[in-house]
Amino acid sequence: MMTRLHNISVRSQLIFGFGLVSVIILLFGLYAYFSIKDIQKINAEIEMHVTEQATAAEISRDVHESLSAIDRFVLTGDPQYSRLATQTDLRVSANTNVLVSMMGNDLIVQQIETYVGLLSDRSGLSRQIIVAVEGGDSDGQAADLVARIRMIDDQIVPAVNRILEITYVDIEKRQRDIDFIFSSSLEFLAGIVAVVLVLLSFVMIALRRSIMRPLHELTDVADKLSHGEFDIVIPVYAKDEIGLLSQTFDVMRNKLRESYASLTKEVAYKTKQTTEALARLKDKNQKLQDTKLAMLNLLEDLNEEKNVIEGEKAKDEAILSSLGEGLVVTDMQRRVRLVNNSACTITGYRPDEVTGQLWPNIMKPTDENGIPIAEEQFLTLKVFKDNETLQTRYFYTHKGGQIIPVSVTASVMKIGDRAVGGVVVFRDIAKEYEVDKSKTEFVSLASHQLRTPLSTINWYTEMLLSGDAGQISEPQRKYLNEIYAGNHRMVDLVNALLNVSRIEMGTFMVSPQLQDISKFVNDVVSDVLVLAKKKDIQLTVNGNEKGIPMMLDGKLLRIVVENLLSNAIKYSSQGGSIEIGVVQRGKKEQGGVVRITVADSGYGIPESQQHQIFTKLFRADNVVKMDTEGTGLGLYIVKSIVDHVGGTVWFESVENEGTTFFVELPLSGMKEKKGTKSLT
Amino acid sequence: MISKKKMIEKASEDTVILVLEDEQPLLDVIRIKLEKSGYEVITARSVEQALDYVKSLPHIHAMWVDHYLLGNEDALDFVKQVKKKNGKWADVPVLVVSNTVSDDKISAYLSMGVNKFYIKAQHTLDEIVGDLKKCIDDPEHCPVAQDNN
Repeated sequence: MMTRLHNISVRSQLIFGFGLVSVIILLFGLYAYFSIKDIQKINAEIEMHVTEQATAAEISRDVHESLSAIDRFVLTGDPQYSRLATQTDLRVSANTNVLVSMMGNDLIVQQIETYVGLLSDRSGLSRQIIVAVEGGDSDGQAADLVARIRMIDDQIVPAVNRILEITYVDIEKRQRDIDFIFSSSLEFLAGIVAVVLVLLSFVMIALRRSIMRPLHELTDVADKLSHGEFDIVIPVYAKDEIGLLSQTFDVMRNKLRESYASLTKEVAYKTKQTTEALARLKDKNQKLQDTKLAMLNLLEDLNEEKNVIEGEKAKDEAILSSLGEGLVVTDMQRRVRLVNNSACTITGYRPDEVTGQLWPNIMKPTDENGIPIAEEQFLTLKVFKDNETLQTRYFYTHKGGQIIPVSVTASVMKIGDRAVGGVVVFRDIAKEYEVDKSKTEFVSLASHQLRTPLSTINWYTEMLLSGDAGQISEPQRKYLNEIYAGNHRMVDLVNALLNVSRIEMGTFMVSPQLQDISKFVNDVVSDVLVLAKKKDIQLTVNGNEKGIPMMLDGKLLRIVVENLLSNAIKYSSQGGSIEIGVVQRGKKEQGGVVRITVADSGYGIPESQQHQIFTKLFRADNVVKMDTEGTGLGLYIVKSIVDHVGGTVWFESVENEGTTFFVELPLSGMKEKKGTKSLT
Repeated sequence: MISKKKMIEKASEDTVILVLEDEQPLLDVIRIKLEKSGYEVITARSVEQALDYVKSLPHIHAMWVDHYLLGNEDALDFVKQVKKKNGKWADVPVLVVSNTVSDDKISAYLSMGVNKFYIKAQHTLDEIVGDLKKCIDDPEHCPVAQDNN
């Protein structure tokens, strides 16, 4: 049986087991149902009997009551009692009818019929009594009738008792039936429970053998599989689900073994990769650590740098605020970004009054009479256009209305190559202006006062020499010539001193005009031809025939070229030669220049003194011995002028071989500069 | 001293040059030089004096003028009067011979139509008289001021 059971699926086994139990319970249910139906029926009968008993008891009581009512009526003649008797009689007969209809039992029916007859007799007697009494009962008939009723009653009561008795017996019998039904039902239930229990245990055993054990075994197998033991034996079972399960397990085991193998491989591979990645990560981490360290060092350095910068900034601020010059920093729109204390002191404005304002609106440059100058002359405007540092003098108007002469320097503020704003530095030159003015007056006076007697000497000597005052002897002529030459040197010296004094004021003007520099140099050369001729010196000019037109201040350039030429003649021996050259180098657009060279074959400058040659009042040893005429101012003036107009001057010299002076001026020409005076 | 009247009489016949110079020795040497060159010279040491001559003289052929003069006025005031538009002497050559170097003054003279400005100490009498001669005899070659300084 077990083997057979093994071939039936567990599901079928379970369905069969539970089906059986269900049928048994159903059967028991049916039995219980019918038993309860029986009990209900019996109960109904019992109830009927109880009703019968009650009715019978009521009848018995009413009979007794009716009799006593009649008695009283007979005695009292009170109609109240006759009515009571009649009512009671009616009730008795109604109850009797009920009872009769209820009682189906033969025996009892017989007795009841007797009973009914008696009752109808009795009510007839009652009515007779009532009639008799109402009629006055003259013959005493009523008492007789009552006696007859009493007799009837004596028969009725036993009959009623008899009925009660019978019903009692019947009820008892019914109750015994119920008891029996109950007890037999209990027994039946106990039996069923026993059977079900037996069946269930049987099923449990069967399940245990066919399902639980294999399941346990398979659980073990699964457990082992989960630990990677793929070589265990998987038990083979019948062809039920468990069997299938074990087969599936086997399949799964094989698959697992395969996938485990590949997984192992995969894991090994991945592990290797991971290890490598980890190594790389470690490496990277190390590098990051290093970088972090480096960053920290850098940060430290930066911090130090920051401190230094902050220190510098504080220093800068201190410098700015302690600066005697007014300083204004503007943006590219010339709006004020920063002003220092001095700027406020000079202009009379508070920083908050000017910050953010257009500087040229607040400080409108004017001339000394307060008349605004042309806007294109505004330094702040020019500086952005020309992109270089510019300097000038004009007048500002103090907040209080006074006109202040100022020296203004403006430059473009750049970060890298990008212009970000402008810087205007200015100072109140009221004192300087006054000094300047009186110096100008002095210079002009001195020039006049010194030159006037010189002119007198000049012209009178000239007159004497020309014989206007009569013939003069040869020695007289010789002496007069000395006076004349000495006087000329004096004039030159006065001129040079005046020029030096102007140069040192830094205010001499540059007023360029368009002219051909080549022709210009030629003209200056022809002016000194007389001088050269005296020493029999050959002058050669290698000019540019096409001409080089450019912006030149003729007066200044003349001083430069004249000085160089007269030096070359002065410091060349008799019969020497001087070469003058004017060449263009490069194009104007590319910052080209014009180079003027004056090369002599003269005494040269001793090497040890070459570095001093542009110094004021310096004269080289070799020429001091030969010539006393030099002022020591010429080259100083030359260098000052060339520097002032944006050119460069230098020389090459070998003692006793000659000197070459070079002057280079930008092809773009000299820039106009305002000043208070020009050079002579 | 030659009297004013005599000067004017003489001037009516010859080529007349008006010399304005405050420094007497210089005035003398200029006059001598010019007279030796064959000119009739009228000299004045102040603007007032010069303007007086200008009004009374029938003709003047050239003027030699120094900047600083006696009196409150300088030669700029004088030249301003002389070079007045459509004035009698507007076309007369004027040479300013002065030791003054003030640029604005030089510019002022040149802009008023002065022919040339000489720095006294740097030029010989011969040079200036030569230029003057050119202006009188050969106006084509009279220096024409160029205010390029």
